[in-house]
Amino acid sequence: MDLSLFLIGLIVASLVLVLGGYPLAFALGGLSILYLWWNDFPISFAVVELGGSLQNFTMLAIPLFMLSGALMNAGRITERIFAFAKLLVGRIPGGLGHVNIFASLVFAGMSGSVLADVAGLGRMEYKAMRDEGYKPDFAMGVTLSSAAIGPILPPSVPMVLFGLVAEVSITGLFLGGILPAFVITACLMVYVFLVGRRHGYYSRDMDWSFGRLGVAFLKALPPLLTPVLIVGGMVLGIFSPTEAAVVAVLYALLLAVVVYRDLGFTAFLDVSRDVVIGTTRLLFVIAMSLLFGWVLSVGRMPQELALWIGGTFDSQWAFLLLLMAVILFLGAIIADAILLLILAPMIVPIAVANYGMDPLHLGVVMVFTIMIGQFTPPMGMSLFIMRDITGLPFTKVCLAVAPFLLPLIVALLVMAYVPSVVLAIPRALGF
Amino acid sequence: MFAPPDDTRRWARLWKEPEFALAQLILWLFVALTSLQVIMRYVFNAPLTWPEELTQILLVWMTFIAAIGLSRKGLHIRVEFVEELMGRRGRHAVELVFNLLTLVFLAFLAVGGWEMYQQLQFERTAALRININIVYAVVPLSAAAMFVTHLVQLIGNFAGVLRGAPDGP
Repeated sequence: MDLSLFLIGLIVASLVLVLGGYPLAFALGGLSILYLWWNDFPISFAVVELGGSLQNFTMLAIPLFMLSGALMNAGRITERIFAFAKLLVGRIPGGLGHVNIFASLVFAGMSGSVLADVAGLGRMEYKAMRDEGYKPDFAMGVTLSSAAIGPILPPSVPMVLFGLVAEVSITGLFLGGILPAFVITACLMVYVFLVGRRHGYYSRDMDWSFGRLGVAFLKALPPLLTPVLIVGGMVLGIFSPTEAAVVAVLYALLLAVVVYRDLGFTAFLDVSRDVVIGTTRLLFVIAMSLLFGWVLSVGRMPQELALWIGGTFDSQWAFLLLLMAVILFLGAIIADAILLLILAPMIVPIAVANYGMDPLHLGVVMVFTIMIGQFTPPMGMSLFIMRDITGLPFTKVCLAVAPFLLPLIVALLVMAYVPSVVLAIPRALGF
Repeated sequence: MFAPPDDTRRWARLWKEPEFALAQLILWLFVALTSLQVIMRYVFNAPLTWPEELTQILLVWMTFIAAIGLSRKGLHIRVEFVEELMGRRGRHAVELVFNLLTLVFLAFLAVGGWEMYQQLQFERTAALRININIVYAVVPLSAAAMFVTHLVQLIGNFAGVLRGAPDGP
């Protein structure tokens, strides 16, 4: 039987299983082992692949960046950021909507994942907006969509993953995310401004003065410096991504335990447990998808795909459009990390060789497309977290975020079709 | 997972979930080892060779040890959407099928791991000179532990299907 046809049949079968609720890691692992067994490869190959899969020093940046984000969340750092954002942008029509977006932008500089943003800061943002009479739909939509900035502004867990599997400079990717993060912020703020004016969302009674703003700024300054510290150290070549991540952890500990003194030991145990569960859920799936990626390359899938794409699309822009459409579609049913792990090593060589695209540009666009895919059902971890926070039905959460996909997609198109938005900063610094 | 319990239960969780407790220990070991490495390199200008290798090995161990806990608590990443629509009995039936598939997969992994253990007896890691088969042994060990976990769940689900439940979800 034709190998790749067999493989495609297997993939379709396991997609059905996964949609029915079968754990992703077991589906990927089972698929890989079934393929090896069918073709008389020893299963011990798979064990060696799995054992070696995570043995990568850069991979260690993932749990460490997640830990630093969780530590920043656990103390009252997020409240200080929110207070500062409120004084800075709270008076624009749209009120707390803008505060929510701006706080997410700042938080994005400390944490690297959408989930950390929604579960920590998002819980607070949603409550604050509901307390001031904002509609739940609007509050959920802003909270979720602004969390998408998280993995674009450095540090970023998905970009570490992309850099790892596609063999692209992680520092370059981090730098490439800086301007797009502001593009997303701008698009969301324009949308919130328009909606906010129509619904009369103003913050009327607010004590505002330059003095108050200054004090709030100083209180929020230490966390504001986190991305500067991390990215600065990486650009200057002082830290590798993993070392930058451990510096972020130490800095977060310093802030929470020494400067603000608001992290008790038992709260600390909670953080530690949540991070372990959060990272190992991800890493276990990563290990299995690395095994799966290896099996795919044994089955020569990437090569066949490259031939087909090269023969079908004659321009970079048509290819990019197809890629974004495919990711948005797949992102609805497959968890974000798996898409990155499987697509990046296949797509990047094709895009570079066939269309002369810059891998940094492609990386930032792919990561953001995958983040948008997070907001469409049925698969979307942040949607589930939002459901738990609000206690509203899952469908209601999905519908609430739907209109906010518009500004996100506008931002995506801007960074996809104006490459210099992504590339200006990395180019200026020689990446 | 996100609701904070009271203090005594937090402490009790450490020994009730030994997999996660061990994984937490490894997580903080990462912080310590990587910090040590940063300090040795930039302050003393004398980077060590072994911490990087050790952290890489520990990353694999942390993941596969915690995976046992993920299986036990049903925390593996999956689409929860369809199951929400089913009745209790239907859910048990689907879980039963899932358990069976998982058991087959884990059995293969455990047996393959045993073969690996015998094949790689003489290879050692570069810096620490540990036998590679000991490093990789965590994969079949974790597979075996998960096998037991899923077997217990399978029995529970089987009972659930037999017993049935008159009401919906």
